[in-house]
Formats: sequence, structure tokens, C-alpha cells
Amino acid sequence: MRLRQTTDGRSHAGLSGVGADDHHATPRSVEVNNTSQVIAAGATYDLDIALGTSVAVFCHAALTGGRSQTGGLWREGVDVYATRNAAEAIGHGTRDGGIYKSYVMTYSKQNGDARLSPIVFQSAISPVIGIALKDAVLTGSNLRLSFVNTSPTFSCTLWVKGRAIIG
Amino acid sequence: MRIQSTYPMLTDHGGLAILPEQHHPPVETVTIQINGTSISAGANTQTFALTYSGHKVARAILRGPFTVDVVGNAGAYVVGTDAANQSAGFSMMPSEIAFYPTTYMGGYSRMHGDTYVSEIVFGQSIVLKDVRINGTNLELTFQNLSGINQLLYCHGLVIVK
Repeated sequence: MRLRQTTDGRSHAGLSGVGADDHHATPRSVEVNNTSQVIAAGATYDLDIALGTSVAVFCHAALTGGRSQTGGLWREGVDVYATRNAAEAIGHGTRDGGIYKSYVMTYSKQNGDARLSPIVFQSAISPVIGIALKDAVLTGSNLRLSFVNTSPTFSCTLWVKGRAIIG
Repeated sequence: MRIQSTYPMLTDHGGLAILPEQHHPPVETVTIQINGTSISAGANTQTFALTYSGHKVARAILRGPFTVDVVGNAGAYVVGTDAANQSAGFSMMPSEIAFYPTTYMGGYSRMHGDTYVSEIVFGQSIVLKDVRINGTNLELTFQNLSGINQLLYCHGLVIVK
């Protein structure tokens, strides 16, 4: 008779039918990239990012928008934390304010903020129309980023690139 | 002779000779909601209970009460460890609270001699002094720089692992 060796709890090797991701999310990063989605005036678009695991409890995404809305060559963006509770999401974003001005703002859904970022995720260079990150939540094996077109009149094209990390 | 059985699920730590936190402390998220708590002059530590011990790092985005040019609120991005006075952060504040649309942004490191890790963004004269994991507690230490009681506001999310 062969006796099973005591399992080292830190090792995932030798376990059958159970991957590390079934136990805890292995650290990884996933690309965020959408520069073509047209969002109608006042509408919201959900961009689902496949994380490859359903056990992640939080996700940290660094997102950049199109060229600054006042025409600067730099890009604006947001750092966002998402959990499985949409009410817990929080963002830390930047926006060009024109000559001699730049803004860094923090947003908390828990505190009732309407959005998680400045209005920086549009392809157009325009202070009139624009897209903001409204919500971020982990749902199933996806990171769901909800973008809202804040213009009541004009449709607008989404422009977002970045990286989401878990683990 | 007793034969050890196969573990049915790796998610089950039962039967292992070690505790889950010795294997790896599960990631925890801690929501921060301090809405106008009066704090006295000097250092004030706010404590939040964690489920597990053994966490090594914390990172947080924290929001204060002051509006920046009516497009968002000032706050801080901070990281901390399981030791005191090792935290670091980025923070920004309006130059004249809720009036003049200009911000200052600073980077801070307690390890390298800075006294605080944030600008004055968590209330009148209130800065964040340190972020620390202490056993099964997460500790956020604020500093009231004035000589009188002030109201502390802080909303955010902390990830510990």
C-alpha cells in the first residue's frame, strides 16, 4: 500500500481538477482597449473585460482617455478600484484644466458620487461632449466598466485604453 | 494505520496543519466611511477590523470633502505595510478650498522622513499621517494640525493582502 504524502498547503501541484484560480485569483493583467464604441447622447455603455477567473475579489485598473479635452498633447485618465459591490468602487482621476491648470480628483460611489472619473474618455477634443466612467464592478469573471455620455444632445465615441490587474 | 484522504477542494483548508493565513491571507477589501467625526488636535487613529492576520500590504484611494473646481473631490492615493511609519502616498488639494480652481499635488514617504502622506484634504487642517496593518486591524492615523477640534471626513476603499 502506498501512503499519500502530507500536502503542503502552499503548493497547488498534484491537486486534481482544481486550478489555482479556483482557489484564489492568480496575479495577472488584462488589456483594456476600446476606441470605436459610439455612445448615444445620455446613454451608458457597459464594457466587459474578461479577467479569466471568477474568484477575484477586487480589480485595479489604470485607464487613459483620449487626448486632453482642451487640446493638450498629454492624456487624461483614472485609477479605479472595483469590487463585487458596485457601491464600493472608487476612482482617482486627472483632467487637463487648460493653461496653468490641471486637476486631480477622487470619486467614491460609496459617498454617492455620480461617476468615478472626470469626463475624459471621449475621442473628440471638445469641452462640450464627453464620456466619463460611471461605474466599475466585478461581475462573474468580468470587470464591467460602465461609461456614460454626459452630453444630452450629441453622440460620442468612446476612447479608452489601459490595463486591469488582479491578484 | 490511518490513511489520509484526498482533499476534495483546494478552497477547503480543513485538515491542513496550517491556518489559512499561513498559506496566504485572502485578499480583503475595507470600505472607509467617516462622515464628520470630531477629532481633537494631534494624531488620531481610526481602526478597522480585518478578518485575517498576516497581511503585508495595503493600498487605498481615499476621498476628502473638498471640491476641486466642481468636477470632483480632493483626496489621496496611499500605500502602507505591516509596520508603522512606512507608508507613502500621492495627494492633491485645492489651493483655496472650494474656491480657487487650482490644485497642488505632492508625493510623500514616511520612510524617507516626511511627516505625513497627504495634503490637507480630510477636513480643515486634517492630513493622513500613516497607514498600517497591525495584526487583525487596519489603522489609518490622521493628524489634526490645528489647536482645536476638527471634523474628519474620509470615504474610500482599502485593499489589504
